[in-house]
Formats: sequence, structure tokens, C-alpha cells
Amino acid sequence: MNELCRLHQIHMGYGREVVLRGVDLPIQRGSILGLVGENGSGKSTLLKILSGVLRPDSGDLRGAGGRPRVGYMPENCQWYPYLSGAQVLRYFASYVSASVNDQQAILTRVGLWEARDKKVAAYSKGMKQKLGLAQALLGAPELLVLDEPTNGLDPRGIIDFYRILREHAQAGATIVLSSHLLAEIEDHITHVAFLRDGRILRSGACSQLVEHCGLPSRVFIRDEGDVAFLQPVLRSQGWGVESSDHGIEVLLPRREVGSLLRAIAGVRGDVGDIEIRHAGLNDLYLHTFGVRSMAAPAASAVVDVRRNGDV
Amino acid sequence: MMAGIRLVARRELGAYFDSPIAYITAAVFLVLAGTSFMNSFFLQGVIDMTPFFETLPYLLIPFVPALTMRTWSEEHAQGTVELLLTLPLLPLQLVIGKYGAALLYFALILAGSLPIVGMLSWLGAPDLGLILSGYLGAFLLGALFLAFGQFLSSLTHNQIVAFALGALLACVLVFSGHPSVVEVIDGLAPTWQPGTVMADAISCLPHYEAFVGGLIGLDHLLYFLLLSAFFLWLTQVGLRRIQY
Repeated sequence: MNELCRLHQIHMGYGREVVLRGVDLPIQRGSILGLVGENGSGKSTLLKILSGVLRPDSGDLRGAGGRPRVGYMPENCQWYPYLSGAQVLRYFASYVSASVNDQQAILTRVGLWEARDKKVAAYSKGMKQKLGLAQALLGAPELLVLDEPTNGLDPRGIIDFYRILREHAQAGATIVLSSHLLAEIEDHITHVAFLRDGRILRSGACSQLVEHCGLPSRVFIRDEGDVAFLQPVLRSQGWGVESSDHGIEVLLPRREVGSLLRAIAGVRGDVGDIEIRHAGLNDLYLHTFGVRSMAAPAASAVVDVRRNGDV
Repeated sequence: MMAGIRLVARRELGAYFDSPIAYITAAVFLVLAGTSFMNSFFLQGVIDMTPFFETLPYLLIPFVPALTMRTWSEEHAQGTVELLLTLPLLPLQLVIGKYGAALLYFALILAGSLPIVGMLSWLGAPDLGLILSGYLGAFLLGALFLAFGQFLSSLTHNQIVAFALGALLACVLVFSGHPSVVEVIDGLAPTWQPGTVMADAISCLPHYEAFVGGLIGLDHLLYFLLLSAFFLWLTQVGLRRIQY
């Protein structure tokens, strides 16, 4: 991946309130970058600067080929209630020279073709969000900037939304989106930037960040007999082992999970389910923001281990 | 620069004619202006359009703010102003484009009164130079009202507030030059004659009446052109402030 553009030393304030404090953020071509942060951390302001709605107090957006062509989907856009969805799209299409065929294709793609002649006033929140995405896709932008894009979408709408994003990214576009929902975006983003108090705390490719932060994978071995016999074996390999009422938990680097499974397979005894959970966006968030995890881990892989350690 | 302005203007003009409100407003305006003129015409029996032009400023007080109230306040309220600012257009192009569309729409409505000229020409020999000068004055007066109407619309998310502010400023600019108002205000401080000072300084009525009287002076022309340009500049400054 090469760099599409880079936000360089962005400072921004509204009156006396400083919102962004020297943000540096490279945006890789073809990536899907998730902007994650608490409320008021400056996400929307950063996205508005990226899309050209706002100009920063200082700093700039640098791109190899100048400012990229941007499609922007704002948070909570209400549109023109007296126009139909197709008319709204035609209105914005006239500014970016998008053909009638393009408009029809986009309306179909976002699932608004059937409702194209309905007035926007009669649209649900989810339909307005879809119209926002349709408008942002007009003119085949190089960079798609989406502010809380799945707000108000139903589960089907969310699935369709990310499918469209993936298709767009596969076609070579770059996407930047903000969200509070880590679990929702985890499977879809390739890069992440954590923002707090107007500063980027950490950014980069998700997998590289996990490795860079040394976040361990967790393997839960559920007790279906007595897994205590495993503990000395696992400890002898240098892995961290913790006991609980339901079994044991092993913390180890992701690349050593295979070795662990082989070690378990080599030991005779009763072992129940093995749940492997690689560190993900949630762990990265907790690590970056210095918050201890309270939630029970979600399974990313469950392996059933039978007697004699057959996996 | 011009291509962007044309694009915005064409789009805005289309938006005017997409809505039945535009036709209704135009029809109401022309009926009121026509009725008012015909009333004077039959009473005075003179082949002259002056009564039409004399009534016009008072009709424009509610009419023009009704045209301009949605121009920017709707974009603010619906959140679409952010989208417009992401388009490959300068704020000035957006402002002039929207203004140009409103101006053209206003000119078309004004042209709706041309049958009166036809009728007068059929009945006698009106002073066409005087009529032309009157139309120029009416166009410039409308242009000024549209410029500050657009500016006031850019200050608020609420169309009703934009309308009220526009009508209020129009009232001030028109009535501050009305002889009765000037006389009353002068009476408050006869030495200083504040009414006359105010009429000379800010009112559009003396400048407009000069056109209606057939006098196309540079000072009157500049009053309308500079003041309109000033309000357009203020509007684009406001938009740029959103960006900055």
C-alpha cells in the first residue's frame, strides 16, 4: 500500500476550545481506516477537515497528486424533505457530473431503487443514511469519508453497507469512517486510528498494531475433568497460565498458539472445549486507552478437544 | 469560476421551478402589483407606469424575503451546507450562483408586468425611456433586497427568522426614506433633522425614486451595486467562516 494522502500537523479549535492538537495521520491507498475515540475526541472535526468542509487553524492535507476527490457522508444529514431520493441524488450529481446511469446504479446498489420516488420526508433514518452513502459514492471518489455511517441502519442495512464498502475498497477507493462500535467495524477495517482529546494516540494497520503492542492471544481451556494436569506442562513452555473455576486461561503470542495446541495434544487427559481468542480491536482500544477489560472474551475460534488430545 | 457559478445557478433556478410555491408567489405578486396599478390607472387616467413603480418597494418588502429565506437557512437546517462545501466549488461561486438564480427568477417575475407596457402602448404613447428607467430601478432594488435577504438567510437555521429579518431590514431601508416617516423623525430633533440624515444615508427610496423619475445617476447606480456586492461578500465570508 502506498500513501494516498496525509493529514499533517492539524490544529483546530472552535473559539477558545481546542479540538485537534497536532494530528498527523497517514492514509494508505485502498485501506479502510476506522477512526475510533470517545465522544468529543475530535473525530467529526477531523473527518470534516479531511473532506474539505472545514479548514484547520494550521496544518494541511498533503497528497502526492494534490487533494484527492472526496465523497463525504455527514452524520445526521436530513436532506431536502420536499424532494424525492432520486431528485436529491440528481441535485448532487449535477455538481460532480455523474451520469443518469451512474445515479441509477448507485440507487440500486444502496437499496433505494424501489423508494427512489418517495419524498425524503417519508424516509426512515436508515433510508436517509443510505441516501447519504449514495450521495457520497457519486462521481467515484478516491476517498470516501463517512461520519458514523451505520447510525440508524437495521442489521440487514449494516451488512449491506459494509458489503458496499468492501466492493468500493476492492475497486481501489480509500475509506475513512468513524464509529463507536468496535465490534461492528472490526471485521471490516484494515487500519485504525485512536483519537483522544484531539491527539492521535496510535494509528496503523490493525494486525501490525496488535503485534507491535505485544497483545497476547488468549486460549481458554474448559474443564471437563481435571485440566490442572496441563498447568505444569504449559508453564514449562514459558506461557502465562491462570486458573479459574471453569478451566484455565493461557496467554501467549499469536504465533505460538499452534505450539500450544500441539503441547495439549501430546498430553493424555480429559480436556473440554478450547477457545482461542486472538487480540483484536477491542483489546487494542483497551490497551491504548489504558482501560482494563471487564467483558468476557468473544470467541474467534473454538476447538473441541477430545480424549487423548485429538484436535 | 464562471462554469461553477452557472452550474449552481442552473441547479438553483431548477429548484425554484420544481416547487409550486414559486409559481404561487409569482402569481400573487403580479396580481397585487397589477391590481394596484390598474386601480391608480383608472382613477388618474394617465398613460404612465409610475404608480406601478411607486407601489413596488412596498410589495417587495414581504415578497423578496419570502424568496430568499430558504436560500441558506435550509442548507444549514438540513445539514447540506457541509456537502456543498465538499464540492469542487468556492464559497463565492456558491453565493453568486444562488444569487444569480434568484435574480433571474425575480427578473422573470418583473417581466410578467410587461403586458402593462403593451396595454399602455396600445392605448396611447407612454414615455418608454421613463418606463425603462423605472424597470432598471426596480431590478436594482430587487437585486439589493435579494442580496441582503440571502445574507440574513445565511445567519440562521430558521427560515421564518430569515424571512422576518429580511422583511425588517427591507422595511427600514424603504420606510426610512418615506416622507411621512422622515417628517416624524425630523420632528423629534428639528435642529439635527435625523430623519433627513437617515433618509440620505441609508434609505433606498430616494435612489429608487430617482430611477422611477427617469434619472439614471451614477451615485444612485453605485448605491445599489455596492450595497448588493457588500451583502454578497458578507455571505461568502460567513460561509468561509464555517470552513475556517
